[in-house]
Amino acid sequence: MLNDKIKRRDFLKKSSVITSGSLLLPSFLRAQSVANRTGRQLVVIQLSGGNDGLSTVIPFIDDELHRARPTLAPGKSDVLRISDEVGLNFSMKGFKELFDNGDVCILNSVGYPKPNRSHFRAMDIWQSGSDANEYWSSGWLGRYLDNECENPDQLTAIEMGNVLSLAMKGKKLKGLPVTNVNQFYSSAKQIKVSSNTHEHEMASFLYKTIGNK
Amino acid sequence: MSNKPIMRCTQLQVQHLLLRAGFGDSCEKVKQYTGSKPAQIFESELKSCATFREVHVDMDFTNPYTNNQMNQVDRQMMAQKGRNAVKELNTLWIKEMVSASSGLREKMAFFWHDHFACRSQNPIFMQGYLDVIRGQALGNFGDLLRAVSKSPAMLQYLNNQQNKKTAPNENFAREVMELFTLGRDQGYTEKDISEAARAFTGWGFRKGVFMERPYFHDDGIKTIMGKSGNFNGDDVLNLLLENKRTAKYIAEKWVRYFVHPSGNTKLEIKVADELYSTNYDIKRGLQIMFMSEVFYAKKNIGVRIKSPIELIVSVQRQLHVQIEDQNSLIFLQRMLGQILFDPPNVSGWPDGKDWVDSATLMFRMNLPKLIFRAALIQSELAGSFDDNDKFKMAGKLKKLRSNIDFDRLSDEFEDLDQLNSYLLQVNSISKTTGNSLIDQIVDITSKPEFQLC
Repeated sequence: MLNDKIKRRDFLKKSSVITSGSLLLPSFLRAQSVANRTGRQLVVIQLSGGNDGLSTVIPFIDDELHRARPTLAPGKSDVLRISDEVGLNFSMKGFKELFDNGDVCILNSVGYPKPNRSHFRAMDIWQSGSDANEYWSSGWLGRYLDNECENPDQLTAIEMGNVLSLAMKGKKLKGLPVTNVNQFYSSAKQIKVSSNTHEHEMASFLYKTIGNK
Repeated sequence: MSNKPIMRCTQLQVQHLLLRAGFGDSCEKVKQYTGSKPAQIFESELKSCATFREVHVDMDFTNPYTNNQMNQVDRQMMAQKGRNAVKELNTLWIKEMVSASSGLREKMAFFWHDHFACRSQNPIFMQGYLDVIRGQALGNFGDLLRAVSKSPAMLQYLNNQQNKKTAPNENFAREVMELFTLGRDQGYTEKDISEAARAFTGWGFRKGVFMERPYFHDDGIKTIMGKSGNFNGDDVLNLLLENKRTAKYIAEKWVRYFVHPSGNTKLEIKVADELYSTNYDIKRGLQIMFMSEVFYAKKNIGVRIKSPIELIVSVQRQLHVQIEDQNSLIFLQRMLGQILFDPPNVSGWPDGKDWVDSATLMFRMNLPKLIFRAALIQSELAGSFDDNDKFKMAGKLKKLRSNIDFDRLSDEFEDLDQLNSYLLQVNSISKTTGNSLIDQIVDITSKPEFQLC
């Protein structure tokens, strides 16, 4: 019994785990650019999931629609008309207002030739911006980061969420997914990183990810 | 007969196998296996998971989805109870992953959970689904495919309850080909999907049990991948299993998951052949993979980023820690981006480099500190008679509660070199520091290299 006690004591003795060690911020958070950022920001909102496009932007004049959806398709008076042929769903009043002010642009009926209807393929094409017969591993926003944001120390794009979307992945630079800003900041404060480079490919990837040059 | 001597595993290779075909293991087990042949180790692991404990959540309420007499408030309460029960099932499974004598069965069940990705708020459905993927984890892939396809959880998730003769729903038929058997764009057409959907019409469930509803079933002639007949759902699954592309697809996925993210064509062919010729015996396929010399090659070691579940479980298995509290376990899964029974969609979780970005990597590197600090505080508390202490610590404990077996740890570890070689599959470029064993463990497990297995 006494022995057990001593062992446990030995563990606790001199342990610095309970107190925090020396703090070093990953370089991209140290960059002053974060604090002094000015200028315009682009906000992209991606609503993932099934949306019934024909009940959102409604081609109410189209006979095909009424043939295909005899009970579902709304009549002329049940839509918020934005042209002689197309109207918005009646519940989109705020959206309509923005549209009338010229603050909204609609790209309707977007798709790709000979769709195989795979949900995942469609998302990949949408987020990468590739042609239907190409498979890309970078996204349209990520390529913007690659081309326009040269300083890898700068935090240039944030995604609210757990997993980074393909759209935010560049070949060199990537956006940063964050779910909880406070938690992110407090983690960052406690990270110690070595400034050496690693020969092992995956390990080197990790060192780069944590913010080392 | 080849005259090449049969390889014997080094410590690193033993760890490699135990991390990939499980969730890592104690130093004691690594020592015991070092110097053995791959076949001996794998057989021994198979043997120790031949029998397994139930992972079962007690549900003291009637199935909330069968009782139509309830009012709105009762219904909401039931739904809440249901969600809590799913959470409990989640953490019970993690605890089993941590404490099972071999991690092999749970690792395979975890792989199948990713392969047959599915979620439901209904604990009874999720329990049934978990029983299938754990029970058949090392059984027959055909049986597994059939059982998952008929589980209410999957039928509900992929809308087959709504798949009726008059209005076929193609969701299940599409995913069963694209994700569960043949693989995307592998030898099937749009027409095959809609024909297969007709065969699956009528498959549904009542009171949490699979049932075929003849009234909704289309019993006309269907033509699927060149074959015609009055096919039902089972016939379609058999057609898919008869197609060797299914064996190839599973083999490719395994090799990418268990051996190297870029795959290995030669090994994939061998594994596919074995799977196909044994009528999809999962054990036999795995044997080919985990007993092959190429699995133990240097280029395949340490090239995989631990998925969040692998990380959470392996830390506990390797270092005799237990995260006790349910909310802590859910919290960690959420922060790291992988929650059991809650995959992002039917194609499962993204793997490899997708697991880490600056934010999650930072959290991963702080995790050992959180776990061990909580364990130390817990242990301090146990020995303290000062109420004031307890009060002070209670706040810190809110987020994470863990226990650690100090005695086992200190018995197992002798020096720093041993600690480094046991915990890291890739040598670190930074020196390990720390005055006490715990400090050293925290230092090593906080290194980026610890994220690799």
